[in-house]
Amino acid sequence: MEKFDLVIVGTGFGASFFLKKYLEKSPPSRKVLVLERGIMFPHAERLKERRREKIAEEYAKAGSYIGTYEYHNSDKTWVFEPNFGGSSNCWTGCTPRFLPNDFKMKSLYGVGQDWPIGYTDIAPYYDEAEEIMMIGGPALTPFPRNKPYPLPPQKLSSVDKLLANRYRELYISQPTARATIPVGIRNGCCSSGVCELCPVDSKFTIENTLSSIFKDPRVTLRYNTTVLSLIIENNNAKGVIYQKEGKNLEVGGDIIALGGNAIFNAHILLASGDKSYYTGRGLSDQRGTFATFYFHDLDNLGGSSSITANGYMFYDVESRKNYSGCIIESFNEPIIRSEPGKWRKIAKFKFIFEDLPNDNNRVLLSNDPLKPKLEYNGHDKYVDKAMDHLEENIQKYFSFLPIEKIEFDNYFQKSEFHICATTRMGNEQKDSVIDKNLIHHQYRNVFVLGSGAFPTITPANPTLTLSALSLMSADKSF
Amino acid sequence: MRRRTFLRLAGFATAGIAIGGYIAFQNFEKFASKIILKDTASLKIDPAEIDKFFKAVSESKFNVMDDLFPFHHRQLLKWHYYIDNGLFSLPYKVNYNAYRNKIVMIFLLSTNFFINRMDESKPVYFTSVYDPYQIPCCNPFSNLFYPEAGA
Ligand SMILES: Cc1cc2nc3c(=O)[nH]c(=O)nc-3n(C[C@H](O)[C@H](O)[C@H](O)COP(=O)(O)OP(=O)(O)OC[C@H]3O[C@@H](n4cnc5c(N)ncnc54)[C@H](O)[C@@H]3O)c2cc1C
Repeated sequence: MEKFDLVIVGTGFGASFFLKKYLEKSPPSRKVLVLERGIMFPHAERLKERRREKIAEEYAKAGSYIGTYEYHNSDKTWVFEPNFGGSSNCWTGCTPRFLPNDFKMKSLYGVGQDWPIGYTDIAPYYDEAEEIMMIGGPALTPFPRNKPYPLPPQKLSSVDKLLANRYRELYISQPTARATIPVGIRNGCCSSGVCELCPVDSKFTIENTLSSIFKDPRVTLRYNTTVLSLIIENNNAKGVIYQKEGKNLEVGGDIIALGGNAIFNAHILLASGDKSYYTGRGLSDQRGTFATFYFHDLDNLGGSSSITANGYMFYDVESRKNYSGCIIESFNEPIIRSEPGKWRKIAKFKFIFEDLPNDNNRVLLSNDPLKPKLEYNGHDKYVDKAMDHLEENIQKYFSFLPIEKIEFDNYFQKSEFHICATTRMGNEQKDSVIDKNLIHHQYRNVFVLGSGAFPTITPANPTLTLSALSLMSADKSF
Repeated sequence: MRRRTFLRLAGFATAGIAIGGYIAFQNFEKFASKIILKDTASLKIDPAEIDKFFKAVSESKFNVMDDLFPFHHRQLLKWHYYIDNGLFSLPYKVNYNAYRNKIVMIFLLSTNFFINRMDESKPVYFTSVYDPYQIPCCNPFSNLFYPEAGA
C-alpha cells in the first residue's frame, strides 16, 4: 500500500490552514497526500460560467452540494462547495473573531458547554489567520487585539455612522476578508455586492492566496477522490479508503487530518466505526432574520462592500442566560423604496442568533457509503425566545434613528451557511469527540478540523475561528 | 337549482376563470413595465426608455429578470397587484412590497438616475442592464459614488 506521512482530506479552510502550518514545521523529506472529492474549478472559469460564456466541459461537470447527502427538511438547508478550496469559493468573507465569553457559555450563562480553550489560547492564531487572509478591520473592537488589522477597515454607511458613534466598540466596521485595498493578486473590494462569486477576485479564497502550498514538492494533490472511511487497527488509523471513478482504493498514512467539513468529517468517522456518543451529534447553524428600516429623513449612503458593519449591542449580555445572543449585519445591497424623494431612505439589517447544538440533530450513515444522512428537527427554543425579544431589542437600540417604520421578515433564512458542532471538542471523551488540539480522543493520530469542533457556535461567523484552530492544532502538534 | 341561478353562477365562474387566467398568464414583461411606469411617475422618463431596458434584458445572455423573479415571485406580484385594495390584501404583503420595489430598482439601476444622485429634475435614460458581472463596482450608493457620506 502506498504510504504518506500525512493524509489530508479536503482543500477548504480547515485543511489548508492545517497544511500550511504543517509544512512550515516539517522537514523537506515529508510526504503529504491531499485527497479532494471535487475538481479545481478556477475563479476565471466560474466568472465565465456566470456570464453565460462557453466553458470547458470538465468545469461544466463540477459537482455541487446538491445530492451529496440524504435529507428531508425543506426549512433548513446545509450549503457548501465541494471542489478545490471548498466554500472559500462562495463564502462572503465576514471574519469577526469570537468574544472571550463565547468560550465559556456554561460557566457564565449556564447553557451549552465550555470550550476546552479560552480566548487567550487562540488569540495568537487569530492574528496569524488574519495576516494570511489579509483581513481589513477597525481599531476599536469588542474583542481584545494586540495589533492593528493588516488592512484598513471598510467604510461605514451614513446610517452605520450614527450607530457607531452611539455604540462605539459595539457597532463596528465589519472585519472582512474582502480586501479593502488591492493585496497580492486580489483586487480591492469595490462593492459589487455579489460576494458568492466576486467579480474582481477581492475576497480571500484558497485559490487566490494558498494555492502555492498545494504545489509544495512534499505535497501530492489528487482530485475526484472521495474519502469513505479510515482504516483503523487498535485505535490507530493506518490510512484511508477512498473512492475514485467508482473504485475503492486504500492509501496508508501515519497521520490523518479530516478537513471535509462538519458533515463529512462526522460521516467519515461514523463509517470508520467511531462509537463516540457525540460523533455526528449537534449539527447546527445560526438562525438569521432580516428587518428593513424605512427612514423619514436619512439617506443610507457611502458604505463600502456588501456588509458594512457588525452590531454587538445584544450579543454578549445578561439575557444570554435565557435566549440567544445576536450579531447584527448591516447590508449594503443597492435596495431602494419606490417613493419619490425617499429612494434610499432605507436600510436592511440581518439579526443572527446563536443556536445551542442539540444531540438529536445529527449526521448519520445511510445505505449509500458516499452519502451521509442528515436529521434536523429544528433549532432550540433558545433561538425562538431571542426572536420573541427582537422587536423590543430593536426598539431599545435603534429608536434614536429617524425611523418611519420597520418591516420584519418574521421568518428565519434557510441557512446562515455555517455547519457546526458535529465533532465537538472537550476535555474528556464523555463530553466530546476531540481534544483541545483537534485530535480524536480515541484515534490519537487523527485530527478532525473545521467548525465541527465547536462545542457552542456563537452568533458570529465561524471561518476565521476554525482557520485559527487549524493553525493552533498543527503548531502545537508538530 | 333554478335555471337563472345556475346561469348566474356559471357566469361568475367563467368570469372568475377568465380573470384568474389573465392574471396568472399575463406577460411578465408587460406587467413589470406597468409597475415601473406607475412607480416612477414622478420622474422624467420617456416610456421608450423602459422598452429599451426590456429589449436589452431579453438580448443579454444572462436574463436578469429571470434571475431576480422566479415563477412564484411573479405570481405573488401579479395577484397582489390586481386583487389588493384599500380594504383587503392577500397574505405576504411585505414580500409583495419588496418584489415590487425590486422591479423598479433593477430598472432604475440600469439608468443614469442613481448616477445623477437621484436628482428627480433630470431626464432618466436607460444606460445598460445592471449586472455586476458585466460592469463590477457599480453599486451607486457605495463609497465610490458617495465618498463624503460615510466619512
Ligand atoms: C454561501 C456561503 C457564504 C459563507 N459566508 C461566510 C462568511 O462570510 N464568513 C464565515 O465565517 N463563513 C462563511 N461561510 C462558511 C464557510 O464557508 C465555512 O465555514 C468554511 O468553508 C468551512 O471550511 P472547511 O474547510 O471546514 O469546509 P469546506 O470549505 O466545506 O471544505 C471542505 C473540503 O473538503 C472536501 N471534501 C468533503 N468531503 C470529502 C471527502 N469525503 N473526501 C475528499 N474531500 C472531501 C470538499 O470538496 C471541500 O474541498 C459561508 C458559506 C457559504 C456556503
